[in-house]
Amino acid sequence: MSKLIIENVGKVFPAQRGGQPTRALTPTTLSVADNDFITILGPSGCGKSTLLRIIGGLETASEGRILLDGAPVSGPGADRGFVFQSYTLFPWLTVIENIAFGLREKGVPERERLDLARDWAGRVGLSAFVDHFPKQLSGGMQQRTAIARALANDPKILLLDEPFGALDNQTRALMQEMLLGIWEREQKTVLFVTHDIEEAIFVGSRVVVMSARPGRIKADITVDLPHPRPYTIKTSPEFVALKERLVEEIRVEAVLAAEVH
Amino acid sequence: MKPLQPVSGGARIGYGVAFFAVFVLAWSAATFGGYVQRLFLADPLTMLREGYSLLVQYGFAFDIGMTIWRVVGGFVLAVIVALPLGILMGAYKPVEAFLEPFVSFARYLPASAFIPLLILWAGIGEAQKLLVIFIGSVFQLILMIAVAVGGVRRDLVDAAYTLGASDSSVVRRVLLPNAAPEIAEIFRLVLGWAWTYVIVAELIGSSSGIGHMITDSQALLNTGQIIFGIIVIGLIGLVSDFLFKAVNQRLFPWAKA
Repeated sequence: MSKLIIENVGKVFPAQRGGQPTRALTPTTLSVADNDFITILGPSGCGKSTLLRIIGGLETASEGRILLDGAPVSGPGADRGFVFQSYTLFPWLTVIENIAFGLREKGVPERERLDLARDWAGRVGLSAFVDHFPKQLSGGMQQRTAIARALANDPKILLLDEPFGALDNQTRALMQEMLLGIWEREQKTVLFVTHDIEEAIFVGSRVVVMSARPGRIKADITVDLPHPRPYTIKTSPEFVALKERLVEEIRVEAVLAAEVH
Repeated sequence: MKPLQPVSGGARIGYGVAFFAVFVLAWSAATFGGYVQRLFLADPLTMLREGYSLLVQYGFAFDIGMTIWRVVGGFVLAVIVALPLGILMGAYKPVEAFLEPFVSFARYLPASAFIPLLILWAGIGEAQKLLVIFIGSVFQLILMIAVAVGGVRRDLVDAAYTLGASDSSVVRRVLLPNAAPEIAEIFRLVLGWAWTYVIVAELIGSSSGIGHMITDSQALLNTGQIIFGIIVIGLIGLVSDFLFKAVNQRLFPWAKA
């Protein structure tokens, strides 16, 4: 059964200073199966982040509705974990306190929430850094903490908005492997927005390609690569063939987007 | 010198002390050299002698204590009022829309101009002194605290909401800790301004305090005492500033890079 159903969800930003209202997202329909890992791939400004923020409840849809386990979504909530592209750890909390933020909100007793948070810090490889403040961490470590913070809440779905976008290539590759490893072990439903084609194929079980603004779903491609996926898979013929196909799809959109702007 | 090139810690202290030395040297040259009449400006040694006799013979320590108590008392009262109002204004936009225009207007009302009115209302006792400090600080505090609280990064608030935070916990667990170091810094700044108000309040209608001593010394043409009083104020300001900075660094180790 579908975990998440996106039903004709569209977004129009209201007119500013007498200009025309801007449509960011044409009504889009998508259903996400339980424990699926979907990557949403598109050029900058195609409305993919807008869609994710609507699912996260951080923005309201102009039309359509979103159902999570059959219940309509209104406003942000702990059932949808969110990881942002920008570094959003609370600077005044240590790594472990950051991870435990949502658990405290749920009223989990202190001992228990610190145990859970320590456990999650371990799973993202930060056991040695639990008492560090965010400013003492590298960008990659901060994003690992952010992922642990979202997952410690045990959300029904994990939403990631270009979480590795600000990282260098090597760190980014390691983070992809770590995220994939967590997903393979934990079995979570994941929606991952990116503009990086290789990343979309490597971590995803299904790649949804979005068109240039106004965004709409242009292609929906199943990634038939086995799990667990080692990083060496990126050079396999199947991977390369898929990449070539997506490069073509995205290129057309990027050209269109460049013409519009 | 290269622009923006940092100086080492030792050199920084050296430069700082050097300016004080230059200042005292210039002052000594002007007074001991006879370029300025002693009637108008006492030399550094006279100043120190006068200061010693003030402390030992005239109980100046009591005046210093009175002035400190007035500044701290009036400032604490202002904080008690300004902190909740500033937080509410920073967090909730309708409250801001309601209060901001008035507070912005009120903060330009000079505290010293209220002194005659406050003497009519509250006499020349301690209440009047505290009120001058209070009026001088409270509106500045409210506005600056509101800006600090409202200046939170939007994505931190978004992150808190996606972690299941309620509206009130966003204020308690995100807006407040986020603004705390800046609020502490605002306290440090406004306390410095409060010092200038207290002296003005003590110049008029007062029987104790550093400001009172300064007016008395003016009547006696004792510039040594006046300068000593001014320097004491400067030193107290320097010490309180230093203490505030040290406490802030202890309290908010996460804030500075």
